[in-house]
Amino acid sequence: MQTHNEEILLQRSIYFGAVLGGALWVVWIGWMPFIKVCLLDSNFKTVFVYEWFTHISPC
Amino acid sequence: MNGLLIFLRVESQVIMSANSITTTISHTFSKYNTLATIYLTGPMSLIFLFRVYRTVRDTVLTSLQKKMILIVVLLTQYTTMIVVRYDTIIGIWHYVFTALTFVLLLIYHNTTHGSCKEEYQEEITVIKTYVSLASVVLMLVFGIAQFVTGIRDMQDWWQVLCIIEVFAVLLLGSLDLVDVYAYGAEIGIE
Repeated sequence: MQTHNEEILLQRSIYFGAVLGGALWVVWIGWMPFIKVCLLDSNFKTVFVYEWFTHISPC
Repeated sequence: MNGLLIFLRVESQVIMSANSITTTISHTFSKYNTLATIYLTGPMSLIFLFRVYRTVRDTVLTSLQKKMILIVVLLTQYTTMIVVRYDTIIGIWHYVFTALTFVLLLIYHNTTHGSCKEEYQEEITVIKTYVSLASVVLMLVFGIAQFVTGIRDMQDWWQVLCIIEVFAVLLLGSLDLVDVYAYGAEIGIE
């Protein structure tokens, strides 16, 4: 049987997880095409992070 | 030396990308697929968990309806991943699965209520209906415009269309944000 404290912990974990998930999703959607549209020629972060992932990190 | 070479390669790509045309969300999925797949695992899993939790805790739905919606939510994960894999799944199937993702998410959002108090239900339904309509209309505008010959060469129109696509997807995502806000209010976090 779940205690009251465990229930509150679960509720808050779900809530903050969803906030984080939403924020990460918005960052992605805005990051790639939208920032590029707004700044017209600024794709630096995209290329930089991609290079980091494929060449520098062990991924 | 290796580090310097990587730096020079990054620099050259930055210069090349500075001259590239505005791109769609799908094309960034295609071009940076490794990064997209790794990065999106986080937000997709967290939002999936939230949707499952809201469905299970729904105070209005019957047990059978909950099971059906959980299947819809799971299918959405698959269709989204198919849309993300635009590097290999292209053409008509990309459009079919994009449409399917929209439809499945709209089914989920328009059938679940969470454990929201009744006085908020009507307000949330009205907000979600308008946001859903705006999202669908914008995505249809973007989709239909793809059939216009030479649209990608019309720089100004193409940029406007890319912004329209971004807003369509952001509006679809904001349906979840409405849920997150409502849920925050339910548990006393605002």
